Amino acid sequence: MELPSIIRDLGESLVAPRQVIQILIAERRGLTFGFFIVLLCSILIGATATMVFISKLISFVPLGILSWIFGNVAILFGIASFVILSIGYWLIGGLIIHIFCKLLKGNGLFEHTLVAFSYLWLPSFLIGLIAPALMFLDYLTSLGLFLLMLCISFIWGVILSVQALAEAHNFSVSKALLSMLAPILILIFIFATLFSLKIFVWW
Amino acid sequence: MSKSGKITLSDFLGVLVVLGIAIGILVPILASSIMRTYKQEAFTDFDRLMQGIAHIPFMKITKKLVKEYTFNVNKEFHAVIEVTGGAIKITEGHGNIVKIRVYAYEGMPWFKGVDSERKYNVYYCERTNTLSINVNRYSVVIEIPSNYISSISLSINGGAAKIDTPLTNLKYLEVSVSGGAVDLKPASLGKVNVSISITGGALDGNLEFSRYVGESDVKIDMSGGAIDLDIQLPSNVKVKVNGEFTSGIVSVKINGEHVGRSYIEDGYEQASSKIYISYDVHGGIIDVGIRK
Repeated sequence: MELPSIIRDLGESLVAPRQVIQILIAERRGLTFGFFIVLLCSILIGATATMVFISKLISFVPLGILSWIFGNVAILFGIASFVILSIGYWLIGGLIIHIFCKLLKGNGLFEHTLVAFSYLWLPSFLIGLIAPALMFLDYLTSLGLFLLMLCISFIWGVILSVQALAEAHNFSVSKALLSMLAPILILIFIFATLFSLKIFVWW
Repeated sequence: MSKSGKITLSDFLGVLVVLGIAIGILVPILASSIMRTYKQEAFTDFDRLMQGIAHIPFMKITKKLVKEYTFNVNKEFHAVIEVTGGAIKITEGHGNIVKIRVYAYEGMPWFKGVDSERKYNVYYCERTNTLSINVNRYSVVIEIPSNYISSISLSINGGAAKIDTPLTNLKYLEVSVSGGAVDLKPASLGKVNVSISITGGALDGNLEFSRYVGESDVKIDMSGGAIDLDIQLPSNVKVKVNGEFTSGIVSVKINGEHVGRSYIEDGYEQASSKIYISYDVHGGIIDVGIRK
């Protein structure tokens, strides 16, 4: 029995993103692959974050049926919020990254940038693997473990995305890294400007 | 699987990814349903709070004794405690001696705080018979003789506080929480007027009025945060409940039965031992359970 190729693609993406993105681009199924990674992983992060941050707090005050309703509403709201934010960030962040890739003489398409950028979400499966432990650990420990896993998966995701981006645009890893950091730098610049103009007040 | 039938690293990782995604989606959804019956260990428990922090990977916290105080207090003394970070624990002492040990946290800078901002102040005024303690980013353990203290005023603006001792002579307990966590477990209470005010943070309490005789009030003002309060009374004590409520979630139960905003137990007016519980809730979650 052979495993479905999608499973092998997922696994190989974690160790050899350059090879996988070449195959995905050649077979023209990268966008579907990327979209489902972002969708499923954002559901995963949203659900687990809601469990760690909200559901555990609600369970602290047992209110019978009310806590059940709040628990389920919170998890639905958490998932919906994370999905909307993640897909929004994937598309808008992907567009900004693509503009920078073009400025740095990259020759890939916008579609290829989105596929490479979707790798940022892929290592969040680590959070899913520890979800049962997060459920039973006490509040603080689960919070710390969740944030630690989020950091690890983010760093791993950036490494994968940068490699995939370098391959998709056929330029160096340093240029890919610069392009990847562009949305974050732009966000910092926008917020710094707004703060300096006192449009936002921190309170 | 490769063509030769061997499981490759990619296959193994691929299965892990699929498993991780499936578990990460299913477990929280299932957990949100079963957590109503699976009550979490209260995160307000002081010891567990500290143990929990110490077990967060790479964030081990230790404590070092920096100062020890001993006061000979008079009967009916008052304690005024303010915590703006760090922790306070009140435990049982002996004789007429109050022992106070101040510990400094050592570990991650985010927890122990900036040295210049960390402070504590311990002072006993013999004239007013009042013990005053202010704590910011220190851990303080106070041993109090249970039959000497007559009032406690506890203000928590962050950090954690725990009372875990019999307080047989206590007359007045005032707890004000605007952040952080309080674990209130005083035992052997007699006739005590209790005032709880909370605008944020959490309070987990178990007031055991095993020596209760006479009349007193438990007053709760709430505009945020969470309260889980259990009140244990002798069976002869009659109960009256009166509540105001504009927003938030309120649950008040007597022996497991929900009661409305206004409740007077039969024979309350004539009873020699009675307690009046009032709440004013403008936000937050409160669960009060009265057991006789």
